[in-house]
Amino acid sequence: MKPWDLETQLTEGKLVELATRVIEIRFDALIDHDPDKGDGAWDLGTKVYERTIKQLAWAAGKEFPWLSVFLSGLYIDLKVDGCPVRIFRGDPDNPNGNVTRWALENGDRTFGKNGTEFFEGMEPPSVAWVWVMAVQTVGDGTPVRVIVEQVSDEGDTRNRWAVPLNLQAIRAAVEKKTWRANVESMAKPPIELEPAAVLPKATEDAASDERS
Amino acid sequence: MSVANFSGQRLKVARNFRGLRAENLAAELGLTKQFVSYLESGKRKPTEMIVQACGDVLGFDPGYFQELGLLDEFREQDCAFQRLVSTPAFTIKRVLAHGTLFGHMVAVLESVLSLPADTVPRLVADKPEDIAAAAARCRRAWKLDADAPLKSLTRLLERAGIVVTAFKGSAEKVDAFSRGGEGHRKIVVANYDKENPLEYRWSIAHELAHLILHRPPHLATPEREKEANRFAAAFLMPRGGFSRDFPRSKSPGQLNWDGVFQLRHRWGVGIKAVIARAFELRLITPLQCQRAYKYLHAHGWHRDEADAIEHEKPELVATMFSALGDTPIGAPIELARRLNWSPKTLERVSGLPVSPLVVRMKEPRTS
Repeated sequence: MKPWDLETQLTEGKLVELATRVIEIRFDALIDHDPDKGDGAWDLGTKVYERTIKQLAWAAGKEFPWLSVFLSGLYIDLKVDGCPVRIFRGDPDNPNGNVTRWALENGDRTFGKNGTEFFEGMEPPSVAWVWVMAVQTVGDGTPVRVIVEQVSDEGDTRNRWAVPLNLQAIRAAVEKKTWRANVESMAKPPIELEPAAVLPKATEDAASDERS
Repeated sequence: MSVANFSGQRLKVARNFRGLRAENLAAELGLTKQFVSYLESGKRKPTEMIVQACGDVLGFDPGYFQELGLLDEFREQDCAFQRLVSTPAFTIKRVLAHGTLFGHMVAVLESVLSLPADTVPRLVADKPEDIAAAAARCRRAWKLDADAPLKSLTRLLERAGIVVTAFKGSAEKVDAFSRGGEGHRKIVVANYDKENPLEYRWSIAHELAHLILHRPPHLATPEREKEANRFAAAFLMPRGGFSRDFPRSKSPGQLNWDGVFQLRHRWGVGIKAVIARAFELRLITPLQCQRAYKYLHAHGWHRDEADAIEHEKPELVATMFSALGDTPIGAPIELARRLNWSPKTLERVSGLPVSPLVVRMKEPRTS
């Protein structure tokens, strides 16, 4: 089942727009990221996280009229037309503890574990499900795909949908917006060095001449 | 002339340098192979006539074989070798002998000349990200711009106190080797036979990596070679500058080949190295990388790099030769005399012409 088959407000268009923005922010942070200067995974992760929550908060209700955001410090709650969605970086098959805890607190218990709808008179299902957007990356933080799926408070997943994104095109667009447009003017001239100097060693005679 | 001090080790080094096997030398001298082996192992002493003949054949003055003290011999375990697995042992011995004589010549020159101080940093790194960071640290240590290409890598090494030399005609199967270690002047010996100036630069950068990252004994493990190549890539093509320069595709999925070739010239590395670095920095996708390699091989572009840049040349030894005039040695020809080498041997070892106007010692017969 596709997200919009289960939650009508989670349309393909909105999810693609949201995922594109999240990926743009990550690529933009990767441009600034320089492991050769000491940047590491922690630095990249925090930069991407803070930029993401702030830029989504800026876009909410304006650029993305369907998005509402509750932002408190570094805590964020996102809703797409009222439907809570959590964004996280990681493996869509193994959501981390933060995601499952969030599912426990905010999950929808309308549906049972097997996906059957809950009707009055039935025993309420014990499992809580939430919608998440998982950004999967490789070792250096480069995104490789974005998955929208449901995650339970027990860490199970279902109704997975891969957001159709052209990651190369997004990256190219981000780079064009930043410094890559000015490549020619920014190219540094090659480093030119003078030849190594060699001097005769002072002989004893020369040394005594200098002393006198 | 006394033969009491005859050094079998010096004979062996001279023979290997000239690329002769024991039986070849024995045939030249009219001796048996076993006798030559005895001479080299010190079990027998030669006659004065044999010493003279050895010198004639190998290109050395008889005094060379009778100098006191052993040569500081370049041994395989002390040197980091960049070579093919199939390189014959004899070829290794030949280039090591070249290195031994070159090191000896540098030591004599250093007794009268002040060479640049050794400023090569010693760094520890084995993980890929640590190696890239080590390359950046190395640039910082030498006060180089972190993101700009290097015009002459050889000159950089020489300024850091590494003596670089290029051998010709010794072996096609050895790209380069280096020797560091405590108490030794660092030396890089690269193959000048390869007409590709980009390969030469890469070899130098690869050896620089060994000098910075690795300690003897040098075991040519694939891991160490990979580490050295990773360092070379990060040092020659630092992330920031290279990423900024890497050309944008004109259309999605396509490489901008014109731009890529410009990078080869600008950064002084082979086209394959440009593609590999772009992939490592995720500037291109795995698919683009794979297609690029296929395309390169199909067109043979990776082999056609002879005129890509001007061939770098070692300069330090030439500078040392020029500076000899203000020293007690005076001139290269006198250096040859002091070393008890023929001028031709000094030319072969140093790769530089020794004054042609001076009457030369008897030249060795060609083998």
